[in-house]
Amino acid sequence: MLLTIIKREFLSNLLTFRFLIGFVLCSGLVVGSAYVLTQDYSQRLQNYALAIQGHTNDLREVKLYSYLKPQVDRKPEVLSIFNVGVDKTLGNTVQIGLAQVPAEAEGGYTKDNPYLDIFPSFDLTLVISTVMSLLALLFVYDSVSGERENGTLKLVLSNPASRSTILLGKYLGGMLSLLLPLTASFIFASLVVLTTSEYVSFNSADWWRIWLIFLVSVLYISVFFTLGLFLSSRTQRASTTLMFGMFLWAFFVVIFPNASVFIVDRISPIEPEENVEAQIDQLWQDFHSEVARFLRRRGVETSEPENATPSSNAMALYNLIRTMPGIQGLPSKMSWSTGWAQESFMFSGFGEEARSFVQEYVKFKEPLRIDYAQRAWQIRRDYLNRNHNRQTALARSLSRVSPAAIYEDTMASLARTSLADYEDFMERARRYREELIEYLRSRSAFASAQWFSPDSGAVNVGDLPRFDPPSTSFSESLQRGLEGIVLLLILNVFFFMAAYLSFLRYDAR
Amino acid sequence: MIWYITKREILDHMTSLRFALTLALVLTLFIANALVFTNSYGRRMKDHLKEANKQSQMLREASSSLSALTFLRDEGSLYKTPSHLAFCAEGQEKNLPKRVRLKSEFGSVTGAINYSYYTPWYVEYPYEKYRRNLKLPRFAELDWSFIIGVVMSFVAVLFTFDAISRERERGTLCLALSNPVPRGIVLLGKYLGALISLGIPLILGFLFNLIIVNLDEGVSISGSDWLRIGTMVVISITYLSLFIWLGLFISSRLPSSAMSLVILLLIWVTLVVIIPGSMGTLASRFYSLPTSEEFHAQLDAIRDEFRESYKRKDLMEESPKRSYPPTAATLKWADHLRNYDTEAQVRAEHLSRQFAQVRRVRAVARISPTAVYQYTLEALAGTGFARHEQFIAQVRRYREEFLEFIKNEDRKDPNSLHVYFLPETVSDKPVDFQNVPRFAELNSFETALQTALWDMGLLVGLNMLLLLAAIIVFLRADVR
Repeated sequence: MLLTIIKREFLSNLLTFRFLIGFVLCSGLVVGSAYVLTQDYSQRLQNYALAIQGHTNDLREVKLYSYLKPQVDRKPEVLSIFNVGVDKTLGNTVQIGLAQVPAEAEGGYTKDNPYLDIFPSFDLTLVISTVMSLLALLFVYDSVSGERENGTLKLVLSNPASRSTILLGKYLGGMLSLLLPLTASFIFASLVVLTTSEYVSFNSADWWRIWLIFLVSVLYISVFFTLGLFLSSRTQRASTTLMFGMFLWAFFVVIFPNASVFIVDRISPIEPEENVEAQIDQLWQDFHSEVARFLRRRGVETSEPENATPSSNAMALYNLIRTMPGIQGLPSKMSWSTGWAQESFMFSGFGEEARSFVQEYVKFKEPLRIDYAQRAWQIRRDYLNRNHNRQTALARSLSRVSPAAIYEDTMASLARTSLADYEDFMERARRYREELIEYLRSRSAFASAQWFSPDSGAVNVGDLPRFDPPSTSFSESLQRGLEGIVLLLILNVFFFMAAYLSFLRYDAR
Repeated sequence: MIWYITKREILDHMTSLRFALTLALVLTLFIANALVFTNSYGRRMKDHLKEANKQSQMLREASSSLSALTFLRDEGSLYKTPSHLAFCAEGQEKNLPKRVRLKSEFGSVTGAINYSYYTPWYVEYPYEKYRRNLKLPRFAELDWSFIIGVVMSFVAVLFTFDAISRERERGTLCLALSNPVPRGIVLLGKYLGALISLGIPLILGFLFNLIIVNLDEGVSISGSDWLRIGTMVVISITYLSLFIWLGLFISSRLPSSAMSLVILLLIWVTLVVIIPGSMGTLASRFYSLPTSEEFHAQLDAIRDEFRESYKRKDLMEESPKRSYPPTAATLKWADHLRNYDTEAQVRAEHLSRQFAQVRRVRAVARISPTAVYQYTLEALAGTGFARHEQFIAQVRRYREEFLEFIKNEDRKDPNSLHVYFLPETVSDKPVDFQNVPRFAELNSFETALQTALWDMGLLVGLNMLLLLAAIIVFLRADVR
């Protein structure tokens, strides 16, 4: 009996105009979007390859340890076509140096024209979460109330089929008919992605993810379908169901995901950066003062330690070195590049006395710099936790009222474009910095003249360990997305139960 | 006759479920908008005034000498005033910089002479996002352009998708048309009925919203602001009218309500959600730009060239002196430093190209009437990208004005060398702070209207187009 009902529901949906239009338009939108997104992704992938190559070349040109500042890049996710997440909104390159523990990545998709940030980007998740949920409601709104108006509901109920069987049949038949446009869209999208660009390919893990993305999409659409069934079995007329359904759709899919973040952003703002920046600036000022005091103890004439700046320390050192004997026949050269915390410098053509003095200097200064960088990082990390992370977590929790937001979140975890994946990258970047420090220590770089002097030959940093980008495994992504999947399941069960209870007492005359 | 039809349509709508739901939803949104805005506006204005005062203070201290006004020792900034009407259209202000930097370039040459040089201050355009948590998911602000542009256009679709088909299905359409009433009048009556029924929650929403905003002491809405608000109300009605005509058109074209609903909803999703959302992804195809690496390489090349140019023998012979008449060295150095403007020019040009790319994307986005509506509101509210461009243009004019002022003041001083611009040659005398030109952003209603004119025309034009389409279709529609 159930099968008959399913078949009937399925076929009656298929033969409607709305199915045809919904199928065609949905597939069209998905294919068009997939094409645009693939082009965009291959462009980003090419930029990434260029960046990697550039950075590897830069590394090869490094002649002194003090200029060893490798740059690491975040690879664009191939599944960002399905869900763009943070792949384009957050930075994608980090410089690894002694002076700063990586906190945020820089650069990013719009670094050539940051004003483009005023335009939103989209992905297939947006298309599916708006269009398919709308289609689900459009398919189901007259499922019970419409049949009642037609007079066919009482005919069906007069058969020896239980109400629960009938409801289940409606659900399964309807969902099956919705699955057709969804499956077709996924297949077309994957085809478009694979054929329109030679840079894009999916490995087996990616296919598993796509499969799971498909399943989660089915779950999401089903939430709206069961909601529609519930509404339909609570109302007497199909037009009433439709209105309620549409308004609920507008609220949960269009309004609430935006409104929740908007309210959190305004009512619970983050502290201004100035306080933290001032604290960190002061910290580095203490660093320069300590360096100045070190120089003074060694007999260098520096400015007052309280007002020491990197350039004042540099100039003081240079003035002392200049007085020391140089190497016969070699011109003496110095070049210095310094920011408030970072520094690279080169002295060449200076004699033994000068060199050993500067070696002492480096041996003191660089480990101290690492220490200060750690302290600056703690200040910044606390600030980020108290503000950015807190606000983001709050917005995320609040937005979970909307199934569309839950869906977006889960898709981001599955496509590896969630915030957690970005944090994984930053954590790996921080760990790489530790590797760099270990590498320098193992080569006794801090006590070596090759930190600053090319006179004894360039350093060979070919054996510097390469950056190992994080690769979230399928099960990890699944774990991250599990909360959302469970929530969607609960919503499904809840709405179906509600629909069942309402349908049991539904007056079909 | 038309009022008879209109009245009937209005009553029909007002007793329907969708009207009640619309009223509830729209009022909630407008009230939320007003409350959130008044909550955060005070803080934003306070921050802005604090910064502006700091700048004013710095200028006052620098007025101790004309030279200090020209060659800023400390960096200055000029800030964009936050708009009172940001609750109407936030305009992506959170993704636009709030200020420009003013700085003097300085450096020193060593060798035959030891000389520290300064250039008069120029404008830098750092791209900074002020107090932005980038980890927060991207969201649309709940401003008027969202409430009306997105939500109310959706509601307009729900009001009119069955305007013709419902009557046709019920059988009352042929009854109505069997009267001696021209079809055009019937259609017009339906249009007016839908417009007024939608207008009621809209106007009520505006009222509640504006009352709450006005009650807050932190916000003050002036006379010219009311003009802007009035224009925005008219434009909002025009925008909604567009969707009503669309609904009437589709409804008379297609035989059943269900069909017209599906078509209209999918059109709405494409125009209102998908197209504006896809602009960011398509942007780079519309206009090519040098990459940031290329730009910085260009700047570095200019800087290196400049540094090398100091090695010119004639410059290194003697450093400029504050002595009258001006020495040849002084003149040569002044001449040389004038060329430093090249870097400022290259930056300004790069910025113009970036702006051109954004303008191009906005032009393409105008396929969606929601984007057109948003740009109109932004122009009238004084927010958004167009306003940012105006701000930059005004900053540049201010700089020209300021340098003219320096020259004029310098001419008054008989002891000055009147050579522009070196610290040694510009007058040392203090300047009356009252006379120093201050940066004041002009944003009159007339300029706002001018900026918005094309977009408003586009909305009206689309209205006309859809009106014609609806009339043509309805005149020949089968009403049985």
